[in-house]
Amino acid sequence: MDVSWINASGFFGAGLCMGLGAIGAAVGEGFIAGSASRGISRQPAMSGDVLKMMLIGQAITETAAIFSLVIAILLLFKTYSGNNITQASAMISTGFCMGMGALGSGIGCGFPGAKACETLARNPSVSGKIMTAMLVGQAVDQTPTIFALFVSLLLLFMNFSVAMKITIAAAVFSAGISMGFGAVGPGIGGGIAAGAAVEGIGKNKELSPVLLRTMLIGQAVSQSTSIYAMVISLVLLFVIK
Amino acid sequence: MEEIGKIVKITFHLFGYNITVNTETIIMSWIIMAFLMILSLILYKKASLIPNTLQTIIEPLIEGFDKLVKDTLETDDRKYYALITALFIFLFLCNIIGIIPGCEEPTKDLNTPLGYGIMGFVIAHYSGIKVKGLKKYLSEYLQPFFIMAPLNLIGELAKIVSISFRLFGNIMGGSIIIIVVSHLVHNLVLPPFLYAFFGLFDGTIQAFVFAMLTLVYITLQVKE
Repeated sequence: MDVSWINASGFFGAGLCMGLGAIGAAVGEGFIAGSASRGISRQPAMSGDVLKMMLIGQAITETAAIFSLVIAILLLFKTYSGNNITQASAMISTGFCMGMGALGSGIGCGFPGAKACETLARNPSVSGKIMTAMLVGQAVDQTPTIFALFVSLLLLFMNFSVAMKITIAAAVFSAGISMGFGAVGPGIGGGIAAGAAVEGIGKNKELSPVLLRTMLIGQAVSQSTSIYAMVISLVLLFVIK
Repeated sequence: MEEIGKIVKITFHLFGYNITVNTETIIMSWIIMAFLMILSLILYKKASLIPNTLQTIIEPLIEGFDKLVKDTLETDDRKYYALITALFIFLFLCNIIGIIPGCEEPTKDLNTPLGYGIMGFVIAHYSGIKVKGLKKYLSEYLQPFFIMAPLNLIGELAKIVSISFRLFGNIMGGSIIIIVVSHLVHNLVLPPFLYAFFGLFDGTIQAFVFAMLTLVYITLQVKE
């Protein structure tokens, strides 16, 4: 296969990766900014603190898009080892996997950030606890995106130079599709759980350890589907010969 | 652009094995450890009821973590407080050392976060077995049905992947973006702001998240 085809598939993968990856985080950050405005209009005296909370929440939400950017840069500038159809399908698959992987948790991270801004304006006395719950909720919500990053890095750095069979090319392509789609739902679902927990801590701060634990167990269960997707991806990558 | 994702290492043969040492990572970690040891010795010697400048800076941090660990674990037991605080301070310095020219973040190398992730995992499960007993600990893997045992096991192991790749991805991603953008703008204007965001801001938050998640994993094992 011509080298230019490998480069072309790398460009296609990079475009998919950054294009899809930009959707989720932008929507999520919009939720946070909207809620911050609502909070400030309710409680103008807290505007400085709400603004700080908004920026921190948005920065964490951006992580998903930053992962996409990194994978897109690696796809553009990396020199490839393989020179066959498997390598080409791995490039596109990497882009799709990271792009879709960043979509879900980008939207999902918006919910805890938004609730944190609103709750802080309503109940300024719990700002520390809200900040901790928001950070932990958003970080755990990004777990599916991190699985997508893991699979993308595997796809990017695996050596496909000897594999010439069409079945292996299809398996490598499907590994990216499996992990990419598998990460969308858990990313949004975990965000809903985290948002509700942050709101609950604002209403009843004595319950914060219990709420944090419940949130984490719920998020872990909702993320089990993304773990299934990762298991199938790894089987497709390492077991299919 | 060749420096993207590159890690300085040396390989040598010993008793028939190939041993690779990531020199830069190890040297940077040791510099941070030495700095922390000297700092803690100075603080310990000079600690007084009327605090000096350094003590005034460090004390609120330590007190805040003490309260945080107490609130999350819901006990007065201070067993885990030292671990979590030390983990945060060490990783914080690891993440922000990149802003000093010539220094590289040890956390940019996957081996560092993976090591601390496995350490937290082992501590959490050891405390779980100690508090609940082996039988109750093992029976939790059979929830809700015994068929789920392999998936529960994978779910627990996936926690190591998620906690270590979170830190690694953020720090490595930040350094790659800094390299590429600095190259594209010929090192003009933008790089200091990028260092401020990825080094200082993101580094602090990711170190806090890593310490907090380790604490939360311990809590999930110890409670219930």
